[in-house]
Amino acid sequence: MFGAAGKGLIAGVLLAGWAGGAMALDGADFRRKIEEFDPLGKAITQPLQMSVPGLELKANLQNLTSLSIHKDMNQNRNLPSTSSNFQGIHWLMDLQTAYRMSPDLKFTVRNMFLYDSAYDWNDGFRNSFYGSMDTLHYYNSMDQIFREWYADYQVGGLQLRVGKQQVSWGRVDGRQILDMVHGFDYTWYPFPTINPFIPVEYQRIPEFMVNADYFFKDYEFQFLWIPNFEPSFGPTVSGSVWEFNQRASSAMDRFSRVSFAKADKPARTFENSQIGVKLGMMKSGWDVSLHYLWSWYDMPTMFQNVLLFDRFNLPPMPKSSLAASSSLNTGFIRDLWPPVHVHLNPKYNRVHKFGLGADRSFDWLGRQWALKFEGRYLKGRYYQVRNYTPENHGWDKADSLLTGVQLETYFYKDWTNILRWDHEHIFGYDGDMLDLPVGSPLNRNQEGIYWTVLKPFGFTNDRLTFRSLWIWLSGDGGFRYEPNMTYELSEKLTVLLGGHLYWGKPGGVFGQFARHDGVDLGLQYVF
Amino acid sequence: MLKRLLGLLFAQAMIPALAFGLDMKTLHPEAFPWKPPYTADQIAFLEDATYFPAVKNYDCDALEIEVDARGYMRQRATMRKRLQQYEDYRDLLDFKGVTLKPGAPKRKDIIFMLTPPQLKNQTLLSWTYKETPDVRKMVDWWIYIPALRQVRRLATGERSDGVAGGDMTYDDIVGREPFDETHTLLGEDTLPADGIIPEPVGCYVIKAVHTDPGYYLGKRIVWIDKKRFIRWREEQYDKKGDLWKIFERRMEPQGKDAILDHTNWYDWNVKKHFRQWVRIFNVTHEGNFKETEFEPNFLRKEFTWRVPDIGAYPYIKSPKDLPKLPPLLEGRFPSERKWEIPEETKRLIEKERKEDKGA
Repeated sequence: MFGAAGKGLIAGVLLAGWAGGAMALDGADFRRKIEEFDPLGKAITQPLQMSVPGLELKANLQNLTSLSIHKDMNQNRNLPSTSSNFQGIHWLMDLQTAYRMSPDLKFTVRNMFLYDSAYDWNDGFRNSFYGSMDTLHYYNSMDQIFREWYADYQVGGLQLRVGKQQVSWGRVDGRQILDMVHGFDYTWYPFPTINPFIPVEYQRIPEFMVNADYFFKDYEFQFLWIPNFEPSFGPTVSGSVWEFNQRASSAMDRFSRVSFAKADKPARTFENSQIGVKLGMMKSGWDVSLHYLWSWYDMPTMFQNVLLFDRFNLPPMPKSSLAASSSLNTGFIRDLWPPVHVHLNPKYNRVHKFGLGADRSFDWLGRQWALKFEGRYLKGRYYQVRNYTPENHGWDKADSLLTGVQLETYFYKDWTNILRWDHEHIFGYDGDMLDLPVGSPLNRNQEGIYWTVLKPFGFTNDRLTFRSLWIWLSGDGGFRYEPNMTYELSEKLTVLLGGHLYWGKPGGVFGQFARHDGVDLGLQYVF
Repeated sequence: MLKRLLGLLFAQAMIPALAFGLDMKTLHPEAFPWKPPYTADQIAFLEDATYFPAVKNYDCDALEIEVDARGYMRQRATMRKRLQQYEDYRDLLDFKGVTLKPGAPKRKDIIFMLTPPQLKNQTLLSWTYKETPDVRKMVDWWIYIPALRQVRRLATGERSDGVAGGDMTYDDIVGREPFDETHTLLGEDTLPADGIIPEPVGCYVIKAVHTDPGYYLGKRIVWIDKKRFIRWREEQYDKKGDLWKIFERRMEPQGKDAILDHTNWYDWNVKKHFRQWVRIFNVTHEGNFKETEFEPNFLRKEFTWRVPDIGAYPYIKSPKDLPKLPPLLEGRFPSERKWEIPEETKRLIEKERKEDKGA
């Protein structure tokens, strides 16, 4: 509907209009009322914390409404057409309760409840995205609602945390390299984002674990025992706005039946545990860490069994059923004729993840710079290949090395600039490999360039903050741009205006969302 | 101990003769803390020695209140702790570094945010290094951001940039090395009891001009207690020579050993009519912090070193509860001090005064 210039214009006008509107609020008596607005804080969290020593409460109520710039987000994608002005109207309640029983012992519970009212208020959205999973509409399982719960015990140099929690090993922004312990919830947004209303802590999927961190002088040793594996969620979920463009239409026309086995998580046995270790040290200004994680790959491998019809005497299925039943890329089938029955047997597989992280600051050109490095060697991942054989079941195992270098500094009056380059190389590359879940040909080497700008405006005493993230991927030539601004109406209330814009080929990582451009409006009340 | 004695013994021979704007030959660091009459440079070093008391451990609670010209108010409750690598200021004067090497950390600070809820559990760690005129090293900063569950190393901003929405710049917070500025003794003066200054106090008045001609300030004029070397008042002037900000600092005996330490900061940006009041309490120097507690990754678990007491923080209800604005001290050192207060600011000040009288 809009070209590149149109997208930029819309985003620019909205940003300018919003910023002007926010400024106009100042100067009115209304402003003071907004600044003093804190009914729940005054009635609940403040008095409770004041009267119960050791009790810590924090709550976040927020609405994030994403408006779609394009009516049919799936145009040019091999997914059913959509007709919605919204990408979501997310109401979120995030409650954090902690109780410090003693100076050494603390219990924390984090409850979260998400409700997407776009399903209720927008016919187009409901018709387009009503998937089979209620969870996209609202959180309805204890796992989602009791998002984190853990006990902390700290004595001397030992920090022990037991329970459902998050562990982040990352140093760089934007792409998770060493931040590799947890699966990712793609239904919030398909990538880590600069949007402050979708922090990465909401996108990580917490896991139950025993997390022991021991500090000795300038050394750190961390051990993780994770008995309960939680895979990533979302990129292949039918009905999610952010479902990846995974269904190859040409395949739809040519194969006749797909059936699935259930993707069972590994049984909760001791043998299926995940183990992680980290050794960190501070030496000569360098903060260096080595990591190892023996884990399950965060998404199942869809092993394929191709069965000829004449062998099983199965009747062909109607195309409409196929469209509904297929939900993964099956590119290899394009080369097969006559029609076949494909049985998919998803299995999680073990991988080894080796990591190295390092950062330091240095003074140069009269300013300070922060240099950060992350590298991860992934051993044992399966890549889907176009050439199916009964032996490979459509997949090849290969190793990969993902590295990222980030440079960060400030320019003139609080302009933070973060420049990042990352590179992924596949060892044992096979030209038939496919990039999942999109399904485009996979490159042996892939690079990305990231540029982030942050600017709090001093004339508003930093109440107004501008953020911008621009990413270019060399592999498919796709771009992503995310500008946003927040304005602190009060210490408790923040408003947001932002956007997300994509460019690229429909089969590309970003290009698949070229018609998912949107404008984000948000209001947050933290008390 | 032996290293310290050696350091003191050889200190003078090791110090360059002229370090930036300082004539080190007249400074006589081996004789620190000197005897009156002091030179302007000596007063500047004595003030520096007082500003960060030479104690190993420091622990306090602090409430920072910011109020802009329109009355918008922020209140931030924090817990702070510090581990210093020296217990004798002479370790910093020893530029050759027998006891404390130049470029080594001299001070590690942690600021843990308790409120507002938006910033709860956000933690800032800084390592400040011993600098000499020959060895310069900027402060290292790390921040634990709960929304990321990550400790991020930060690049220090421009020295003139405001920190965290406040009006104090990085240099105002981290401090300027005495050898970064040339000092001139303008004379002596008595500061009246006003603002956060509890009683009239006799001061040396020093003019400090940065050695970097591109520095963001034109000059600073500082009132330093003649007996205890507290920097009670500091005026910052812009490059045109106009008054920009007035800072007041109150130090009082704190902790079991009654060590002189900060209890109140009150800053006024005269141009923007921005006020910042920091109330520091529960100060102790008796802790026994370990180096590991000041490692960046130790911040990760949102675990304060003692149980916070939110109820003890002296929150204010409105900007009316702020102390009176620091006086302009008209007529004092007129050749060095001039100001031009914007009409809008004058109007706001007048309005506030009337409201105060009305109340």
